[in-house]
Amino acid sequence: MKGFSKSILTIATTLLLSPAAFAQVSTVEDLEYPDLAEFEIPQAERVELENGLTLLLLEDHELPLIQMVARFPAGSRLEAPEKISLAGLTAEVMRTGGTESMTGDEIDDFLESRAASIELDAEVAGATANLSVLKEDLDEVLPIFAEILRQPAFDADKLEVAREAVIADIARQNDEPQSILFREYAELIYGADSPYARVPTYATAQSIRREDLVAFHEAHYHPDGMVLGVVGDFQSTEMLQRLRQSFGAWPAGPASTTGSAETAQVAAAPGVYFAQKSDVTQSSIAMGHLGIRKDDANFYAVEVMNEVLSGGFAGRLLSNVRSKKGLAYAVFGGVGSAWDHRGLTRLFMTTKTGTTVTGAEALLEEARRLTSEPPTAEEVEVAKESIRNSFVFNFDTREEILARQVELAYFGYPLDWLERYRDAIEGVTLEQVRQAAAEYVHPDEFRILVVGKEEGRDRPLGDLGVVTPVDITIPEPPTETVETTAAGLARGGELIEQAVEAMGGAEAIDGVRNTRVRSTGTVTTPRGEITISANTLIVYPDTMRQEMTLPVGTVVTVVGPEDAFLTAPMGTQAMADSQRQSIQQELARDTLGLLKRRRAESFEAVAAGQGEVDGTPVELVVVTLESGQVTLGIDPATGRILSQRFRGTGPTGAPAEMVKTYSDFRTVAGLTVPFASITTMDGEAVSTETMESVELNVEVPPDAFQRAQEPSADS
Amino acid sequence: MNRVRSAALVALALLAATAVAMPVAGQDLQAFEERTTLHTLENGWTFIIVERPVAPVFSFATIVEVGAAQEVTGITGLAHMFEHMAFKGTPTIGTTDFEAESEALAELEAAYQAWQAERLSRDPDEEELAELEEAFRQKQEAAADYVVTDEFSEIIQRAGGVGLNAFTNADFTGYFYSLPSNKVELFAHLESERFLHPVFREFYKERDVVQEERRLRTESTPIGRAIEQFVTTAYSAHPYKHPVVGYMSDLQAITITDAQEFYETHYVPANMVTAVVGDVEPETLVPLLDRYFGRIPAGPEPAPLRTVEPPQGAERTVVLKGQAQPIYLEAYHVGAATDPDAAVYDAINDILSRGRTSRLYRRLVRDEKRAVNVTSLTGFPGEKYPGLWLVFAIPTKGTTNHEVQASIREELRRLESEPVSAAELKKFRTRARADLIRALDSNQGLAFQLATYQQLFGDWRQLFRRLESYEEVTAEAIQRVARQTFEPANRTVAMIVTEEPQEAPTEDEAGSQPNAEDTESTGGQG
Repeated sequence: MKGFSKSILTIATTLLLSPAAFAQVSTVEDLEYPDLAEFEIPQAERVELENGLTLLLLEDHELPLIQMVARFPAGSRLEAPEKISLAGLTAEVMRTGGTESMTGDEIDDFLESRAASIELDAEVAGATANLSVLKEDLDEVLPIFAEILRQPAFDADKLEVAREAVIADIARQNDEPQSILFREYAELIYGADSPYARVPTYATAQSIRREDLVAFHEAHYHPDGMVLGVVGDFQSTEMLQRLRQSFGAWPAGPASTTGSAETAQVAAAPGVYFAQKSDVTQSSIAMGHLGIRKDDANFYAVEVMNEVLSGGFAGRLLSNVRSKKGLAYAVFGGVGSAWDHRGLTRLFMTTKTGTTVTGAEALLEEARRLTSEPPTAEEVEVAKESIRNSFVFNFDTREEILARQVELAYFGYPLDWLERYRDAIEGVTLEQVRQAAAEYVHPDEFRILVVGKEEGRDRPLGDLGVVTPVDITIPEPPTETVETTAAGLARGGELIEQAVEAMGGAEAIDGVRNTRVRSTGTVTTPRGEITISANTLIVYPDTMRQEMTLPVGTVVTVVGPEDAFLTAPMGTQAMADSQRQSIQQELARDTLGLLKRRRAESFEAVAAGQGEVDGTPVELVVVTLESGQVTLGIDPATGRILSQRFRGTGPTGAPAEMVKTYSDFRTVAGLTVPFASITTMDGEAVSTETMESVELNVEVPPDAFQRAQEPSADS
Repeated sequence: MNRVRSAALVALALLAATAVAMPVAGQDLQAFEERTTLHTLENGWTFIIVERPVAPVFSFATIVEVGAAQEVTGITGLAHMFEHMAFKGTPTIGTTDFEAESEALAELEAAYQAWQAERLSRDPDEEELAELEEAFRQKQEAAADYVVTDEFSEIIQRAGGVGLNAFTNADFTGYFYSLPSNKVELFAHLESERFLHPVFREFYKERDVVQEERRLRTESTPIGRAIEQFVTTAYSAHPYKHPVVGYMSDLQAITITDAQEFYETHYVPANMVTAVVGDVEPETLVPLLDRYFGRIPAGPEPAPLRTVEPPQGAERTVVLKGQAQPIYLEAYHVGAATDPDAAVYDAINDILSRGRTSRLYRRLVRDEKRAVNVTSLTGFPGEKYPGLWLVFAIPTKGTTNHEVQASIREELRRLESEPVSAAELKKFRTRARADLIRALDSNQGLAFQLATYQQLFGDWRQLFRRLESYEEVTAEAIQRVARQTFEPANRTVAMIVTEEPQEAPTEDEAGSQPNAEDTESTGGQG
């Protein structure tokens, strides 16, 4: 029990100095503990049915309750990329959408009036079904549980209820800083398309049909591959009989798969990533790289190392970053592990904006110290002792024993895995822990993600490494499609031809290789209106350099097929994907750019009724470009494009309707173009622009689209 | 010691009478009573011991009758701050040399007080301020030299302790964890030591940690900001109006001296209840409790709170504009947990918002698809004093707060105009009984509940007696309570309205509430 010379010494001293009758101990070291009572770890009975179903039964007669836990190889890993959230919707609507014999509402009434519950959920590696019932109601409730799993009806309206929840989650995904952090961090490490990181969009949520749920259930809910555990107040032989009745005749399905367990690619390069969220007073920070699988040969040494680093209140992270430095309330981390794929290694903290870089450095320092000041013999012993002494808590309720054994059986691990775990932890040596630290934690390969605001930061993030902005824009819902009729297409084509003539004819338009425009404008910001003058060089089809003079200095924006960056007085930084995309869309929408694209394969123009721009009647034309849709308002009298309407993105990532109206048409070198424009967002004016000069086919400086030779700096 | 092994209590008799519906439950509850021991020390500390030897482990929860409601402005957040300090150790735990450390801590506090006095003075002298701050920083470094960081927690974890944590709310402060059952003496030693002579080491570093906690839970999350603004608006006089975590300016000004005074006033044994549940035997545990906890001197019970929240008199509305999707909340003042109508509110919550068969779910989520979640609850921000009944909804995308409000209001009106069905009342009682049975399954959960009930009602058995009061809830009572409660002049509405970002909120060093400029708070729109 003890084993430290320090304690023995203390005891000896106490014995020498204290009167024997002194019942009150004065220090913890003086305490003597009796041995922990021998405790037999309850084991579930394992039975395999002919159809492949694995059953685990564990009696527990303390309370008149029965619980069931089932796992199916029907996790979100098996979803097609365009059907993200299908596994979760299938599980949810199996539960809510009724069965062959009862509607979903009837099942709800039936269960809740008995204080019983059945819930299904999908995780990445599998789906779960849980039942909890008072013993006396089992006879009535078990058949419904079986029907939900075997013959769900998938009521279409219940799919809509479940879909609303998915859509609400998408809309809310940037509301809380931690949800941004953990989502984007997984994306940085696993890759945006990885089943371990991908997130639903409005498009994927809306594309899922009832037939998809039926097919997913058909393909993945079968007795083979399924593990069903039961714990509670029952007799095993009798329970076995009931389960055979409910599930024995369920035919085995096609060979099951839990889906690819590979963590294929690492998406982002090591470095610093920043997602802007301005309504916070803290930065949320995560850093790390890929972790391991639980069957890794060095798993146990890693577990001990994790305990040293972040085992509760006494680990290095909490002691150093929180207690000693006062930098954080929440701080934890470790090498992550999962049953059948590599987990995430992650160190996490939140700290006030004014200590963002100081905090990130403190975390990094702890990661580096794992090798520079490796775990000591005492730290390792404390960690092992904590694991050893708390081991009994893995077995203190039979529900958790059963739930864990179902999990182990599902992932193909031995049912006594935890007992082996304890023995293996005992065998871990100091050297192995140090090796694990060196082998599994690589601070130089960390992807460091910071979510928060820039203003008030202690130092530039660039101090931590090259900073790449992270785009957290919520992709918009798919635009409503205009019905493409032959008549609409014909009229659309005519109007575009009219617009081409109005601008100066096909030859003039196609002859433009580039334009240089000098303009002034105003932009409405939360701090008031600011005036901007700009010099914009566009080389068609997709390259632009814009020099903007703002009150704070000059900002140069360059967007081309190879690079996209911003140069401000503070330095140069790469442009976020969303910004780059939005500028490229703007280039394609620009009236000249749009008409130059009229012969592209993807170009489609459909007439969509009548409209009005500042009192002038116009015909609306929905134009589909490779980069998105825009609705033009064309004056049928003159052929001039007087307005364009498109979906843009407001600063919160929420979609907004943008309308740009054109006026003051003038002719320059045979081309008639608008010299003034006003842009509104959801009906409110946000900017105006007035051209001072427009030049065509100018000489393009050779370095116009290259980065200046400056060290990169933080945004 | 006062062992409760007498005849079954009235409540349990009643439960036995309802055993027709649930035969096994009655027996089990009676058996539970027989396994329970109540023991009050001479100094006033009350222990509830429940033998539940299913595994060689036990859990405990100490609930102290002090919460944020015992604070006044200037020291808001101190109850919670003390909770953090209760992990910093004792004269024998967490120090290399307590005698020297005590001196260093005294000097540190003097240096802090001097700095703060200048800082809060009418016209602080910049130069002197810098010097005083530097002096404080040096004393802080000096005191830190003696600290063995987090030794208290490490001892517990090393002994196999799990779930080590604590909480503070408006009513109570709670401390809890679980240990293997051979470590009961360690529990008795540590838990008596930490309240016998707490040492306020690392106080000002921990104050930084608590400020981070405020930023994490309140300032950097739209829901946290909305809840703070909502509570502060719903109450006008009672201390329930103050955020439990405290205002930033107070968190930047509370001192060791404040904490010491707070401790001396409120951490008296008469204010403490501890429940121990698991593989423990009263025969061996009670003598340990006497020996260890008996050392703590009795103290006078703190004076009761004087302020009573006046009738609201006018509807209040809080609109928090921000970069977040809508959330809708409305609340009404109701009685405390001891109010005779408390059971009626429990019935209302069950019928309105529990599960997929509840009225609000079926209407707003299933049929109208105006919300993805609707929840109602009582006892916020506390239940020791009259609290709030509230309902909140997460609207579906594209639904406005006002549409959600209209649906909720109609359901509240329906509660006033039509009696609830017998089936709804029956379901409420069935679920409450099943909840109790399920609660008996967790040492930690049970310890927490028993100690809380003992504090709230003066008798842990209220946990079971509650079911008796549920039998008496009638459809008429629900109508009566609904009519008297859901009055516009008794209502506070709070909502988050999506808005493009304004100027980024700046952290006000002086500590006024962040985002206050984003919040409109209007009274008298009844």
